[in-house]
Amino acid sequence: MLFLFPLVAAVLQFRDDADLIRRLQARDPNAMAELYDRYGKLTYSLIYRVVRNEGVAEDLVQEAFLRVWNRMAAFDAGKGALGPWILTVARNRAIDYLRSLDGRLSAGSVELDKLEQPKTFERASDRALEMDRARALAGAFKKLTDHQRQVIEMAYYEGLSQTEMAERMKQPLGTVKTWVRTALRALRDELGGVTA
Amino acid sequence: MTPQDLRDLCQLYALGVLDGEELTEMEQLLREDGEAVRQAMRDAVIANATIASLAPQMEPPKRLKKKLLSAIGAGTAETGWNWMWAAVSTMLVIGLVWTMLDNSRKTTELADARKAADDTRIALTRTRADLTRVNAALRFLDEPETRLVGFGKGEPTPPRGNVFVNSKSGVLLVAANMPQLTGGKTYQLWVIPKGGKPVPAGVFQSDASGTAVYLMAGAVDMRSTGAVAVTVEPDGGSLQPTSTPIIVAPLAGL
Repeated sequence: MLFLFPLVAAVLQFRDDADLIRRLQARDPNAMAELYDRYGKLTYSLIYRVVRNEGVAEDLVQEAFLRVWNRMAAFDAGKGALGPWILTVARNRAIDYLRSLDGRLSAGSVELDKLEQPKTFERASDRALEMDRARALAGAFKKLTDHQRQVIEMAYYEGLSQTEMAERMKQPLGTVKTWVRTALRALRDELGGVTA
Repeated sequence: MTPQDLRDLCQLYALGVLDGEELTEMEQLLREDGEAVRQAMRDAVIANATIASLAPQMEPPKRLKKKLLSAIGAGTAETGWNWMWAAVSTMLVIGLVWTMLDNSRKTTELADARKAADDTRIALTRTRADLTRVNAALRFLDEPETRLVGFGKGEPTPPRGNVFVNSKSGVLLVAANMPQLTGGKTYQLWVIPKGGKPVPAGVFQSDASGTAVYLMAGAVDMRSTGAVAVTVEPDGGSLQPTSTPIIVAPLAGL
């Protein structure tokens, strides 16, 4: 995985999202343009990392932003963390696309829609998305073992469950779960108080 | 369940990759809606977004923003200006082309108008000349000394007409069915003395219908003149007839 701190920092350094949120709620098209300027590149990068197709990535970025645009009324400008919400919506759109290709929309899967409700992002701070934290996070990612990095990538960029990871890696489920948890805790440690 | 376990579950649940018993357990915790779970979920979505945002940087195509804004019924500022400039440019081009075409059209119209004016002027001049000739002919005909000489009657081929002779005023030729002249030719009137050579009396043209009215002003010695004749001559006339006369009007007996 290639880590790009400036990208993360540039997109996530915006501290004053409240005004932007209010303008988006007022259906101000200029606010949508500003939202894209802030998060478009990061969103596209994330989605492309998942789907590996430029045309599909374009469509999914558009879908993600439109979803945010249409659900903005439910977002609390004073409490919500806009960046994480958009990234979550974007990732979910991409993972949904992958799952539809793979036929993985099984009954056992969590509906990603449920995981991106604006309410979920209220009172969430996006301090973790600051540049120094992103740099530390990338450093922590590099320190992971190959298996740990592999399971994290499968979880974040392929949307595989631990059971699916175990099947693909031909490893016991318990072993995979250990890799996943060890990796998540190492990364959370780098994010410090935000996720502590 | 330790706090670390809860965070693990929340993070995996927020990613949508939890399944089996762990998913069931997590959903139960969410239904209980405890503060610790809510806080763990808030932290989880932030952590997940941060980790997901470490994807390799890719530059989205420029058209994407335009497509997105178009989808909400708006355009980018740049697009708006581009449209405006495009519209202005288009209007300027159209205006320039129209002006050029209009100038060209006006130039053509002006040239046509000038030609028409020239044609009118020429026609008017001709009309005035014709009118002058007609008036002169009418005055000539009104003079009591004018005598009439017919010609062409009984001839198998045209032209036919009359020659009016006035000893003080000259000779008036009124002819019809004059033959069409080819290029470089003209009619020439001759006054032919009795027993003498033809004397040039002027050149003239017929109109499109073959009618000719020509007045030779000047005194005519009726007693010494044998006939009046018309030949076809080269432009400018000849000193002596070079072709057989098409009209011969004898003055004998006047």
